[in-house]
Amino acid sequence: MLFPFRGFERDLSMKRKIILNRLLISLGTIFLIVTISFILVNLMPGDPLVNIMGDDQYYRVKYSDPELLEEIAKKYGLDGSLGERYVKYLGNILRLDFGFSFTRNRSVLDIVLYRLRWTLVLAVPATILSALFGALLGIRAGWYQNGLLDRIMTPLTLVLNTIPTNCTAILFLTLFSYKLRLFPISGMASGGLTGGAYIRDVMWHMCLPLSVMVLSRTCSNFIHMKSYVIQVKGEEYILTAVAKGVPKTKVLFRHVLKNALLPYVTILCMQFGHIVSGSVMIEVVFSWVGMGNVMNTAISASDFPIMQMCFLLTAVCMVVSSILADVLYVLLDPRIKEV
Amino acid sequence: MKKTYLNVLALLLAALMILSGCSAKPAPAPSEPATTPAEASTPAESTPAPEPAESTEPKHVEVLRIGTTSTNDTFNLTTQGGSFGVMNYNSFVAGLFWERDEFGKPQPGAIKDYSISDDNLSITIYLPENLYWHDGKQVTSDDIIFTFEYARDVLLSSRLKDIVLTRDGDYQATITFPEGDSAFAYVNGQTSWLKIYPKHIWENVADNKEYMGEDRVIGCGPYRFVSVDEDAQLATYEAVENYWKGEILVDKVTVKSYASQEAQIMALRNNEIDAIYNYSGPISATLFPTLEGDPNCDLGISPDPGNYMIMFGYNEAPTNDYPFRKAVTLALDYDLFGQTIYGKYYNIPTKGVIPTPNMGYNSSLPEMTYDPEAAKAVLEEAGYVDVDGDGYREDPQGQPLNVLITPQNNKSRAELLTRIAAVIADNLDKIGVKTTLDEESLTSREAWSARSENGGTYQIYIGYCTSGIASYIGAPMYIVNYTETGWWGTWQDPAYMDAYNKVRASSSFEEYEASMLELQEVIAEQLPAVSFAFGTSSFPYRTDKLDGWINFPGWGVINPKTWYTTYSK
Amino acid sequence: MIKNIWKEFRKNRAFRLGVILLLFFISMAVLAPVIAPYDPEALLGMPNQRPSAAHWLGTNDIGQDIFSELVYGSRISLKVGIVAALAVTTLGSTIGMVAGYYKGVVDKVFTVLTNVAMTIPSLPLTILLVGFLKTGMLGMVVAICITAWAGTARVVRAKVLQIRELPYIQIEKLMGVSDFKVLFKHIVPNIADIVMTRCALSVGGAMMTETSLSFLGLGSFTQKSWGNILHFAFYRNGVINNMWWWYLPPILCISGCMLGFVLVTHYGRSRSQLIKG
Repeated sequence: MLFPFRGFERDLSMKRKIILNRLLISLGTIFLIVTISFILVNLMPGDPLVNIMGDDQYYRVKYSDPELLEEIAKKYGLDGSLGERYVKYLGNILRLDFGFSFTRNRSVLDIVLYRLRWTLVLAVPATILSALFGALLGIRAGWYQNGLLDRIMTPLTLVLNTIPTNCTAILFLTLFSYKLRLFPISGMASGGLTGGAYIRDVMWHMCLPLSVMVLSRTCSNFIHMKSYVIQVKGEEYILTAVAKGVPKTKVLFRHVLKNALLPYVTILCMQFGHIVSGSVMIEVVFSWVGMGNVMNTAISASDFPIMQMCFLLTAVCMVVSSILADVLYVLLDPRIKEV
Repeated sequence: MKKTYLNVLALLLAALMILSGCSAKPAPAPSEPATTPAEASTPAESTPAPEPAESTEPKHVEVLRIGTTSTNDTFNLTTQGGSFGVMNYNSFVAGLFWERDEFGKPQPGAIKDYSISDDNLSITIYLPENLYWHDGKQVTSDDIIFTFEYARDVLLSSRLKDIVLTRDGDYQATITFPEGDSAFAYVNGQTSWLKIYPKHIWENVADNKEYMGEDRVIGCGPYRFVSVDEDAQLATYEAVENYWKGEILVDKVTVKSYASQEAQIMALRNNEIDAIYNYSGPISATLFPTLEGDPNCDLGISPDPGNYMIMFGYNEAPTNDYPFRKAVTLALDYDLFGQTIYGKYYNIPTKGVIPTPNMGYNSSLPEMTYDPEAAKAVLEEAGYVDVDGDGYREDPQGQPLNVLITPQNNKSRAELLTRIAAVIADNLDKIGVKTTLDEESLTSREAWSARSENGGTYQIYIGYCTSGIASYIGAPMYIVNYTETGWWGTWQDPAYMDAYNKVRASSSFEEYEASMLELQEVIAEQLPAVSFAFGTSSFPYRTDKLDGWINFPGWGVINPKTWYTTYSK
Repeated sequence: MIKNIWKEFRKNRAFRLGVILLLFFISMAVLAPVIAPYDPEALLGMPNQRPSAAHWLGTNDIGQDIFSELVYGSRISLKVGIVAALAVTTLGSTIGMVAGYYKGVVDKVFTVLTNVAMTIPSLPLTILLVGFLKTGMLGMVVAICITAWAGTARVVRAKVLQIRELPYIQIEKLMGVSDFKVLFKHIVPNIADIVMTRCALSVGGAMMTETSLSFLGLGSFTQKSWGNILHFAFYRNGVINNMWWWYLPPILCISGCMLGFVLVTHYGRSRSQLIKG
C-alpha cells in the first residue's frame, strides 16, 4: 500500500491548505495590481484628468470650456482627497465600471471585451496547436536523444527562438503577402460574408498571424517538453523498469509521459495567461485588431482608461492562470510537500 | 512507438490541409510587380478633370467601394469621430450647411441657398421644401434653429455664445452674430463641418457622445446608413431615392477601414476598393512605387493646399533675430525636403509660405533659394561666428549656440517629422549651427504643450497646416500670437496683425484674397515662417471601371461631387 | 575561470559559436568609427538607393548610409541591453541574496513579491509602463528593470539557500563574522557564475525588449538602435517596397546577437544546472 488511509487523508487536507494559501496570495496580488494601476494614473505629474481624458480632448475642452473640466472631474471623483478617490476607484472596479474612452467615444469595457474576443480567436487555436506540436516533437526528441529529429530540431528551435516575433512576422508578411500574394496583408475579415464563407474568410485572414504565433510557441514548448522527458527518463524507476524488461513503448506511455506531462501542463497554463496580451507584436504587424493592438493604439493616443483596463485584464489573467497551474500541480503531483 | 510517429504525421497532414483549405480562396490576380519609379505620368499641377459629356445617359455605379484609415466604430451624427464622421465632410449621410467645391469655395450643401447681409453679421438660410430626414420627417427651419442652439448649449461652441436666431418661416431662418464678428468668415470656416441636426431626435439627448439610440445616424444627406460589420470594418450606405439635389449616380457605397496606408494601397491594387479617402491623410510618398506602373490605378496627385513648415519662435533668441532666420531659410535644401515629404511631386516654395492652390495665393513672391554659402555670409555679418574654434558658431555675444528643433507632437506623422528634423539638423550643421532635437516634445504630449502653447518657448518648430485649415485661414493662423484662434504662434508684428485681422473680418472673397496677399507680403519680408516645399497630395483611385472622378486639390476624388458625377464605364 | 572558459571554448561547439558571434558584435560596436564608412546622421544626397560599392546596404529614405547606421546601431543596442541587464541583475541578485540569506520573514515577503512580479506578463507590462513613464531610453531601461528582475532573484535565492547551509559558512556565522563579510567573502564568489549567466541572458532579453519597443515607436527617436532602424524601415515603407537591404540586416543583427548570448550561457548551463525560470 502506497498510501495508508489515514496518511492520505492528512495529505488531502494539507493540499487543501496549500491551495487555500495560494488563493489568498492571488487575491492579494490582484489587489496589489489594482492599487499599482491607481497609483500609475493618479500620482503622475500633472492633472489626472489629462490621463483620463487623453491630452487631445483635455486641451480642447480646457481651451473651449474650462468649467466642463470641473464637471468631468466631479464625475470621476477627482474632486475628493486621494483616499476618497481610491475608495471610489475600487468601487468602480468592483462594479466593472472602467470608465469612458474619450478617444473612441465608447465605454472602455465594451471596447476591450470586444477586442479580447478577436485576440482569443487567434490565441486559443495557437495555444492548442503549439501545445500539440511542441509535445509530440519534444517527446520524440527527448526519447530518442541525439536522434535525427533531436539533432535537427534542437538547433533550429534555438535559432528561431532568438528572432523577435515582430521580425518573424515581417518576414512572413513580405514573403507570403507581398511577394507570393497568398494571404491578405492585414485585417481579420473581408466583410459582406455569412455562414461558412465567413468562417473560411476569417481562417484565411488568420493563417499568417496564427502560423507565426504557433511557430514561436512551438519552439519554446518543444524545448520544455524535451527537457522534461530527458529528466524523467533519467530517474531511477524508469531505469529499473527498462532493466526489468518492460517494453519500451509501455515505459514511455505508462511512466515517462505521465510524469513529463505534469510540468508541461503547468507551463501551458502559465502560457494561457499570456494569450490575452502576448500577441501585441503579431497583432501590430498583421493589423489584427485585438487586445494587443488596442493597447498599442491606446498608448499612442494616451488613452489611459483603456491602458488601465488592459493592464488590469492581462495581470488578472496571469494571476488566474498561475493559480490554475498551481492547483493542478498540487492536485496531480503525489510528491508535493509544503513549499 | 510507431504510433507517436504516425500521430505526428497525421497532425502535420491535418495542419497542411487546414492551411491549404484556407488558401483555396482565389488568390488575387498578379499584376505588375513594383518596379523602379517610372517617369511621372501625372503632372504635379493637374487641373480637375472636366465633367463627363452629357450626350449619353451615364451608367449608374452599382457600388462604390471606398477605403479609409478612420475606423468604423463611431456612428453618431453629432460627432466627428470614425469613418462615419469624416465621410460626412463630403455631404454624405449628414446634410451639410456648406460644402466646398474644387476651387475651394463654399457652396450650399443640403440647403437650397444662403445669403449674407450687407453688414456681414447675419446669414439667412433657405431650405428646399422637399428635403427629408432619413426617417421620413421633413426638414424645417425648426431644425436649423435647433442645430445652432444645440451647437451653442450642448456642444459648447464658444463662437456661437452671443448669436441671435430668428425663424423667418417654415423654410427660412436667420442667424445674427454680435458686432465685430464676420458672417463670411463663419461660413468659410464652417464649410464641410457644420451639419443640420434633426430636432426630433436630439432635443432630449443630454450627452450626445454617449447616446446609443439607433436613430443617431439619421441625417438628411444624399445617403442613408444601412449597416456595419465591425469585424470586417465594413460599413454600407445606400442612396436616398429622389434626392432633391438631382440624380445620384452612385447607388450604393461601402466604406471599409484599414489599419494602415500600406493595407489600403494593397487593397486598391488588388481591386478590393475603388478609391481612397483619408481626411487630412494623403498617401505617403514612400508608397508611390507600389502603384506606379499599374495601368488600372491613378495616384490621384493634386496640389496640396496644406503644407509642412518651420515656425520660428519669437520668444527666444536667436530665432527672434531676422538675420538668423534668413540664414536658416538659405541653408535649407528644399529639394531634399520635397523628396522626403512628397517623393517626386513638389515645387520649391515661395517666401509667402502659403501654397499655390489656396485662395489668395501670392504669385509675385520669389522662390526660396538653397545657398549655404550665402547663409554663412549672413551669419558672419550678423556676428554669429565661431569664437572658440569647436566648429560651431557662437551667438553675437559670444555665448555658445544650440538651437532646439521642436517637431509637432503627432503620432501618425512622427516618422516623417523626425526625418524632417534630421534633414534640418544636417542642413544647419553644414553652416556651422549646432542643433538639438526636442525629443521630449516628440514623445510627450505634455512637454510639447508646455513648449508650444500660449507663448511657446520653441526656437525652430516644425508644424503642419492641414488642407482643411488651409481652406479658410491656413498657415498664417499658426504663426500669429493671437490666443483666440491659435495657440502656437509667437509673432505679433503690427503690420501682420493688421492684415491678419482684415482676413478674419473680410466679408467677401475679394476682401479675403486682398488681405491674404498682403499677409504674404509681410511674411516674405520678415520670414516668421518658411515652407519646406509646395507639395502634392495623393489619394489614389482605380480607373478601370469607373470614370467621371473629380480630384479636389488636397482632398481627393471622394468629395461632395462624387455622388453625382462618378459613372460606370 | 579563464581556464575553464578556454576548455569550454575548445570542447563545446555551441559555446564557440556564441563567443565568436558576441566578439563580432562587440568589436563592431567598439570599432564603429573605423568600420563605418560614413557618419550615420549625415545626409549623403540620394535617398532610397540600392546597395552599391559606395553604399554596401544602400541608403534610407533621407539618404543616410544604412550600413553605417547598422554599425553605429550596435553601440546603442548593446548599450541599452547591457545597462538594462546590469540594472536588472543587480536588483534581482540583491533581492535574491538577501531573501536566501536571511530566510524567515524577509524571505517570505520577497518570495511573495517575486511571485507577483513573475505573474505579471513582461512585454505588455513593459509597453504599458513605457506608455505611463513617457517614451525614451531611460523610461525603457526602468520599465525593463521593473519587469525582469524576478527571474534572477528566484534563481539566486535558490542557490544562496543551498550555499548558506555549507558547513564552513555556518561555522563562520557561529564565530560571529558579520553578515556583510560572509555575504561578500563566501556567498558572492559562489554565485558569481550564476549571476553572470543570468546577466548574459538578461542582455539578450533586454535587447529583444528594446527591439520590440523601438519597433512600436516607444523607444528613442534620436538614438539609432537596430530596433529604431527597423521601425523606420517598416513605417517609412521599406518593407512593402521590398527594400530587403533596409529591413533584413537589422533583423539579422538582432537575432545574431541574441543567439550569441543564448549560446554563451550554455557554458554556464553545463557548469551549473540551476538556471531555470
